[in-house]
Amino acid sequence: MTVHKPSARRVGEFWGVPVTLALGAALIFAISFVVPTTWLFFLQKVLALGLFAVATNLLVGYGGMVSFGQAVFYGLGAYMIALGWQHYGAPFWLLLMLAPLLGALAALVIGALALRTREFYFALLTLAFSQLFYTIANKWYDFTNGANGVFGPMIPGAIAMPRPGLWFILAVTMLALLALWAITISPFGLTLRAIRENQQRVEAVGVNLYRHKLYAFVLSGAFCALAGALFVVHDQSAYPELLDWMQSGEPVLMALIGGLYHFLGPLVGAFIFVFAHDYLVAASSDTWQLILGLALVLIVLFAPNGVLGLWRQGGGGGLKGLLGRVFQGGTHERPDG
Amino acid sequence: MNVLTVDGLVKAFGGFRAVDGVSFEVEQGSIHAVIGPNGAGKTTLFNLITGHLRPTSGTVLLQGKDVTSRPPNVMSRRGLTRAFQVTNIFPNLTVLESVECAIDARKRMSGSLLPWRRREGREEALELLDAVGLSEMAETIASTLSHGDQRTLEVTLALATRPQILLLDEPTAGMSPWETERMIKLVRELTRSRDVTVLFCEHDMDTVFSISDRLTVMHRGRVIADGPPEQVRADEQVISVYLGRKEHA
Repeated sequence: MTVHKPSARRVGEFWGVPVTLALGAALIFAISFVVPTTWLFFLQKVLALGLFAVATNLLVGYGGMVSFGQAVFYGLGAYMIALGWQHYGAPFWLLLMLAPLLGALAALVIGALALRTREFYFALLTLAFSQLFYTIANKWYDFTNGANGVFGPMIPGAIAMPRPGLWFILAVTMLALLALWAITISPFGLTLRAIRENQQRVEAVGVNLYRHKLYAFVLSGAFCALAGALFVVHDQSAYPELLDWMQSGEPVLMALIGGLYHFLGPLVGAFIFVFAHDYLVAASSDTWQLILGLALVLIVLFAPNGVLGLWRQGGGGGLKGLLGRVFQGGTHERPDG
Repeated sequence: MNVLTVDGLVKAFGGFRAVDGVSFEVEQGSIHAVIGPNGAGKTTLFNLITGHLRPTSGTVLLQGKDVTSRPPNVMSRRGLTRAFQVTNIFPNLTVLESVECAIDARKRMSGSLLPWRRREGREEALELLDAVGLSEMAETIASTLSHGDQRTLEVTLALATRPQILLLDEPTAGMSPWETERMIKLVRELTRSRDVTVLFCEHDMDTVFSISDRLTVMHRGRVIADGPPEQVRADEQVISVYLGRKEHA
């Protein structure tokens, strides 16, 4: 019987993510008093999309299931707020709680079908669902206003202003990220990583593959829908493009940029993505796709573990080494070497 | 008492019958070997027993209950687990995490979202790693282990499910003599201390004869001999198709 003391590394691994999140939240709260309004909107968008990307990465990075259909749940969350307000005059707070439930329910149905297939076909099927929901939102004019989308005062006055709006989005995002992080270090999170590593083996030790994948899909769908609802707090509108495959691809790209194999990778990716998008598009809208494409090629070739992966490779002393160790917490795959 | 009964198993791939009416029984607490030349149908037989393949006909009884064609995860829950011929681990998980995952599955905790529920599994995993001699490697990434340690981890993953019967597909394949010896010791120790029945197939005859209580010999999909080692060693048909060939080589 060995006595197993928690190593310094394990303690760092446990506290790395929540401490980083708390520091980040404190920083955003502090600067919200001094920065210009455009920054407040920028941070709102980063947080909503960051949550979307982390929730998507539960499937992509943790479970090894590449879904190009997560915008279905993101868009449904957004439309839940917008249409609930427009058609039923339902209170925002109720709709905010219903959004993840709707996301979970939709994910249960779509996942039950899509997870019957594997890898490539799974990715294609999720993409097809994304286009299907986009088309419905676009064509069902009587209910959704079609391509015009839904606009109006659907957000309570208290959080409709930029600064309180940011605080609200910040608080909900942090709670959601902590919940997601707890999931990733739970027995289920471990099982999900084992599924990514070796499906045959995990089945042989007694895990029902299909059921656990579906479970991951439903959880991811719920958090994606919550992110969509937060996007409405930011944008105060919902429109069909929130559901389409381009929107589905964004969180996957963000996760790739920031690092698939770190809990916070997609959040960092969302920051870089939105920053580049908003400021480069402002500079010249034609070149955005070109720059994005080029950046992705470079990342896939030279930094397959994303920006956080580069940091972790550093090690050693100094600021780089320190950051490297901080970011070690939350790593859920340690590439060889 | 028989823990496993295989009755008239047939697996046909088109016109080719890889397993052609195999029947035998595995006694509780024994070490039972299945031997035979390459292509005799041993691995196919194992895949039929574990539910990875569906038999064309025949039945598999576990503790007297019909479990034919149940999927692998159900077989594991019922007490029959396998270790694989090709090392089959979780490359980027640590040794400890890998074993934890298997223990959580047995405890039906794989779906738990509560981080603190990891603790039970972690403690049991550390005890088990200690018992198999891998505790020093607990924090090592599985894919960076030596071949022998990977094989041991493979068997440990199977053990973590607390099987009543453990199927080992060529457990010492590609191992150094020292590693082979360690694996044999491990298998022997298991049957005694943990009351695990072992069914294994193996090429290495020294290993087979040194630890088996009973042997089933296969040739071209059929059983040609079944009995204790000394009886099988003296069997003329076995000598001609298998052991004899080795002497000529």
